[in-house]
Amino acid sequence: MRVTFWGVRGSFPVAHPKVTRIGGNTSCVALRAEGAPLLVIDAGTGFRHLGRQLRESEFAKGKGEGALLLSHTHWDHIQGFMYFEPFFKEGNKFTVVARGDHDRKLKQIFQAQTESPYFSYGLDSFKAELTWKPVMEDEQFSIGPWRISTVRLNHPGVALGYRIEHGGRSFIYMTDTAPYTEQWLEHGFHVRKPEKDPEALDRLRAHGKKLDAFTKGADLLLYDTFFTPEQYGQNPHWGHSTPDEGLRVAREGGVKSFYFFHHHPEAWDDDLEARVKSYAKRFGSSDLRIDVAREGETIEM
Amino acid sequence: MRVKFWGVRGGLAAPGAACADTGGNTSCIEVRTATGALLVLDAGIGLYWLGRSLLAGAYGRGQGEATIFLARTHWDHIQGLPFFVPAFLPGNKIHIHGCGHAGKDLRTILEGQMAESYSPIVSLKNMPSIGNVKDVALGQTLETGGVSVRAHVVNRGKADAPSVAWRIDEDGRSLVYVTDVEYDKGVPDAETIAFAREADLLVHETFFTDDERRKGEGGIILSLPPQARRNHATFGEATELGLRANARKLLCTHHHPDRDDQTIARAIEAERDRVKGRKGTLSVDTAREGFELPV
Repeated sequence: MRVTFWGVRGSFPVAHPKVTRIGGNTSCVALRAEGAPLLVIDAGTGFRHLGRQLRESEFAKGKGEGALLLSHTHWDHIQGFMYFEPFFKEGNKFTVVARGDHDRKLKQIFQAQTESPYFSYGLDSFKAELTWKPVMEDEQFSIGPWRISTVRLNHPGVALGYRIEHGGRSFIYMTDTAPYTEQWLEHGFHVRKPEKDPEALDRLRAHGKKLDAFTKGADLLLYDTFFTPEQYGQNPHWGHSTPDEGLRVAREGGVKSFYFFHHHPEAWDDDLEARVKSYAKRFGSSDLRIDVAREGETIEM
Repeated sequence: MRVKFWGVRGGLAAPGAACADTGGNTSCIEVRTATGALLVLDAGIGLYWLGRSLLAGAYGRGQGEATIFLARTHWDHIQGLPFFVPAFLPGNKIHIHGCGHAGKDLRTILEGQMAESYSPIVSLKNMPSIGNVKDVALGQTLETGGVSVRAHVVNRGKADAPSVAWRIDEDGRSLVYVTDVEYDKGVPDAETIAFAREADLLVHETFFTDDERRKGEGGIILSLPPQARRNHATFGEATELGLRANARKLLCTHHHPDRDDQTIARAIEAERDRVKGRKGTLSVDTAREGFELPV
């Protein structure tokens, strides 16, 4: 399979001269394989650029098939949704997958943020055929030849991590998530409140173990490295993680390559590149490759 | 007063080198009155960077006050709000003025923005320093920070949410901000001309080129529905308003995310040609992020 990074930033798109090498668009990753439908994960502002690149493809003729998997529907993961050109071509078919218990509720989330007074056109202007597929954690399903499984991530509102397998290769998308060490994040508004109850802490850590099993033997782990350890210490309730925690998960799972992803808006190119280099020197090996997701880059797996 | 641009894009942010000279953040303008009061026009992503610049001063200590005036509640005008750090630091007072739509008042609309499906903020109540959230009273003049602020609704009667143009007058000097406006037949209307009359600085959106408007093209994506290719003005229409209102200076803003620096520079040159030989003293340029000027 071939993985392309269209957006690698977290929180909001960053138009700043200090991020032009690594990129400022919000989360969007595309997976392609011979004979398989296009698979996209998250629809941040990078999703618009992916759509434009498809102008020369079967999607321009209305013969494209694809699926969009959403980690969750926080704004930085959906803000490119209404700007994806293949949605406006009759004949294209898409499945939109996100955490939920009902397809109508899932559609409603998109409906509500695309109409007046927030936006100038709605889902009814799409010409492609969209199918809404709600999924929950610990599920397995297939999109064409792609085999996909889900895991619960520790994030306000709850996010999903995806493991995608095809042709003997496995790719893991794991953002947004806080480590399962300090605080259980789910619904409602969270303030910093580290868990003190020993039983609750055990349950929290048991969930963390699921991540280790989920990543078992994966070829590539794309992970939420939004925070430095210092930043995380101040904001454990934000639902984001660190390279240290990500690399712990990668080592536990025996992952072959680890990519920094969902970069902090103020992770400048120079600093982030130096940080990745330092982690690679300390923790990288012939068994574990460490790198950073850069916008526009494609990885052959 | 002094004016500084923090976001000059419309629709979506435009990261990357091609737009870096003009800037790629969605709409946000800082206005400092002679008394030092802070007024903000629009809360696009530029608001994050404005907020960051404020933290070294009173706003970092929870002693700051600001009023944000929203042209509209479309996402590109409000998406910086949940990232405006001063609004989370207790003690600051951040007021918001804007326009409700379709039976929803401004607070309800902003609550919808923060809802759990879209944001970890969940509710506006979790931004402790949000002060008054007010629907604008049309035709009224608001006195604040030693200036008078007036609202004028453009796009009235159109199906989409209306947009508010803002005029700030201070001691004989005036700033007028007009965005997300579609003029009938591409000709600025008499009311808007009167509103912008004798402005020292007119900041006007120029989302489309005149060529795109003529050909009916120029949506953010090619095959967008017609309604997505309206609700915006062109470079030529902005200049026309400036000339008819006898404004002194026009700064073009709310640029299309695909409009690179070179294309904007060419469009500005064309507008300067248009002004030649016409009555008045209008100068034309593009707004640039980080650019600051006295009015």
